[in-house]
Amino acid sequence: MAPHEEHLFEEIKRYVGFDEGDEARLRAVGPRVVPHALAITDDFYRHILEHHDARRAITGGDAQVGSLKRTLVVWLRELFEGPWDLAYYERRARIGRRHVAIDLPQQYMFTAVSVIRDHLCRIVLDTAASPDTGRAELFSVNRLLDLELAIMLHTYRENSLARLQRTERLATFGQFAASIAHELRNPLGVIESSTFLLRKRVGDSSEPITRHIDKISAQVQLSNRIISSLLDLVRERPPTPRDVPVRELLTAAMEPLPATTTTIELDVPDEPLVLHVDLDQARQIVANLLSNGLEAAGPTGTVAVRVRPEGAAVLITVNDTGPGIDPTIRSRLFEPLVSTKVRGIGLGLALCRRLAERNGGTITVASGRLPGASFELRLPRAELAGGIS
Amino acid sequence: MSARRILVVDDNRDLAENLVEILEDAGFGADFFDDPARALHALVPGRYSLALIDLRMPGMDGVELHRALKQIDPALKAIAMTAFARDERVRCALGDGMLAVFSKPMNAASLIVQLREAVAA
Repeated sequence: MAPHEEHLFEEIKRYVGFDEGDEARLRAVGPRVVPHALAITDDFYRHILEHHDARRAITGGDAQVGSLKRTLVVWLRELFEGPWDLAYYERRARIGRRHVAIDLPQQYMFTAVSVIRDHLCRIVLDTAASPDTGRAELFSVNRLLDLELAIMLHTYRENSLARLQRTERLATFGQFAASIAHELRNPLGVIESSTFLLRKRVGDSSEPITRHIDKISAQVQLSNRIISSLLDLVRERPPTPRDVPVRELLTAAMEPLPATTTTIELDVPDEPLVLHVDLDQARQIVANLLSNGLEAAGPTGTVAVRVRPEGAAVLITVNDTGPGIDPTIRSRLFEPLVSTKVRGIGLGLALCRRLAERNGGTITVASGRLPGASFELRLPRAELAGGIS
Repeated sequence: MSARRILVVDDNRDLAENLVEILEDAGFGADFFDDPARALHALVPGRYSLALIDLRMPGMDGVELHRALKQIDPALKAIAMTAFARDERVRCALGDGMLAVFSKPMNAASLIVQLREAVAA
């Protein structure tokens, strides 16, 4: 645990004046609240599911709501159990980070805690030994709920700091990489032109030599493509969005793919789904995911592409039968220079995320029907343009 | 005959030599300079129909060289080459009337096509 976290929790406890008296009162309140935990939880999720935008953060249906409810019951129990130490903080922060991960807007976190607060205050007052005790317990419960909110807010801050660091890292890396990339095009130009001349000089008669010339040419092209994707990654071309039917995007993304024996399953609904994106940038994302999928699945494998409307977004899932994602790099998968591929340099997914974010979308790694990697790309729908995160 | 001669200027001598060889194969006459100042010094009006100029060179960049060459030989056509496709100089080069900008590594076949068209025009 990082020292600043220790500092933070101790500091905010001091700030709200949370002390041993509060701890004792919370322990006294606990047994009176816990029997109502299920009822509170049901009411809590009824409020959330009634609210369109808050509900949108819950994408996993009844199963997810069930698991969230169980989490909340535990959360309520632990609220009154103590000890309110660093391990407590870490557990609470983990839940906060989950909110960040599912893009729960912060305002709903506040209003949702208010629903819980109402229940807790009512129970405390209804069950208090005396009005004075009840009043003191009420203050303690409110102090703790404020601490909870502070912890959750901090996880949002962690996330935006991480984003900022990523952007800065990318900017520094970008300037450096861009200048190297450009410089490499000069020697590539010499290799390319020498290869062109060599091919003419040896003619068609010399098969073993032309085979090597072909290889050199192909590798020069590959190097140049790597340079191009690197420059695309660091380039700040703002998107020029327009309405793009999702089928047009898929066709554009699949068009440049090399001929392959890998099975590509397309599952696109009949209803016309229209995105509001920069076609070229969206094409790059999908083409990248597809080409990763094809490479991972291999010649006998399968890549499944599934398109579904999802609120203000269209969800495009690319799932393959390859070996899947190394868990050790899963959390850093979208950072530049992180790659699961033996020969990858780790630009593709970093570029995908950047392009997705710039187009008001998101890209995440998920688990899919097929055993390999599964990526979920969400891009804004035309009718509801304006970003989905 | 001199109407089909091409002036190649690139500080990368290896590339400049290769380009001359490619152009000669394609039936052009060609000379190269790896120093823009010397290219400028050697220019005689009417000697070349077209100049193939790298945009980033030490001392004098391709845009400056092109302007100076045009002072001496206003009829000289020009095509730019660059490893930096997003360089501000690309915009300047096209604004100054250079016919095209080729990104390195260049496709020799399409370069020849473009040169033939440019010289014939």
